[in-house]
Amino acid sequence: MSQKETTEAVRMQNTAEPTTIYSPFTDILEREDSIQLRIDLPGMEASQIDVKYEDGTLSIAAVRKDVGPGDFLHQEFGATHFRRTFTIPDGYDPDKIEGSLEAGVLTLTLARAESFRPRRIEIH
Amino acid sequence: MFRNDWFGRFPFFEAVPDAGTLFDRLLQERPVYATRAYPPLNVREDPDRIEVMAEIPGIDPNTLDVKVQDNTLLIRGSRTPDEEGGKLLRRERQRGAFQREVALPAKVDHHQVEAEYRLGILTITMPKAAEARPHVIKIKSA
Repeated sequence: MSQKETTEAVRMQNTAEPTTIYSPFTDILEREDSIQLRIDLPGMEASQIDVKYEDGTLSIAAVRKDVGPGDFLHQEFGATHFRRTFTIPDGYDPDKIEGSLEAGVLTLTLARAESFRPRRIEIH
Repeated sequence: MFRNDWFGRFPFFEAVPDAGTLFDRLLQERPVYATRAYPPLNVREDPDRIEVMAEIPGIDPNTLDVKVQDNTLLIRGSRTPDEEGGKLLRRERQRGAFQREVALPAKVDHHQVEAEYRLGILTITMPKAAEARPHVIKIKSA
């Protein structure tokens, strides 16, 4: 490896990047005019969560660095790389996706596109 | 050190058979809370205090029951997410009552225990009782 490649490799080993990738638990609730995803992302601030919509795919990513300084006597959760993607079916307006975060739960609401909403058709 | 009573139900994975519903691509294994106690806990001991963290997103902290008795910390509560006004296409998040006990590695001062719930993580800080703190012994030289 060249000098630069060796340095890169060493630097990557030394960062506190979590190596475990978790697919966060998600509930999906279907409402009359929207679908709502509720995703467990404990310990994440809104600014640390990356939600992207591209080409029919909704992707959520968030990196939780260590949950606190120092060593633990007993540890069951820690640095985590949350990642999950969902394929959004037709009929939902990507411009109308809303997200909110409360108590570690990310709620994403996808509104049904206008043209797909059920409507009454007047008959003359 | 741990005694776990888990009353919650196993995570429920609902199949999504038709194209009209959402489906996802899993990247790697998901945390399997079904075979582990809930909620996940971390325990840290400093010279002057013991700290316990619990990962419990999406609850109202007022419904939590946190007790320190003798040398045991008890965390009890339940997770009942709101499912009103729609049909649940997929249910993965833990539901139901939970309870965990932690046998503390040192004596703590019950009156100074503090608990904070932030970003879905409950942190309980328990200062050690005076007699449990390290006692520096001065060495006399003759």
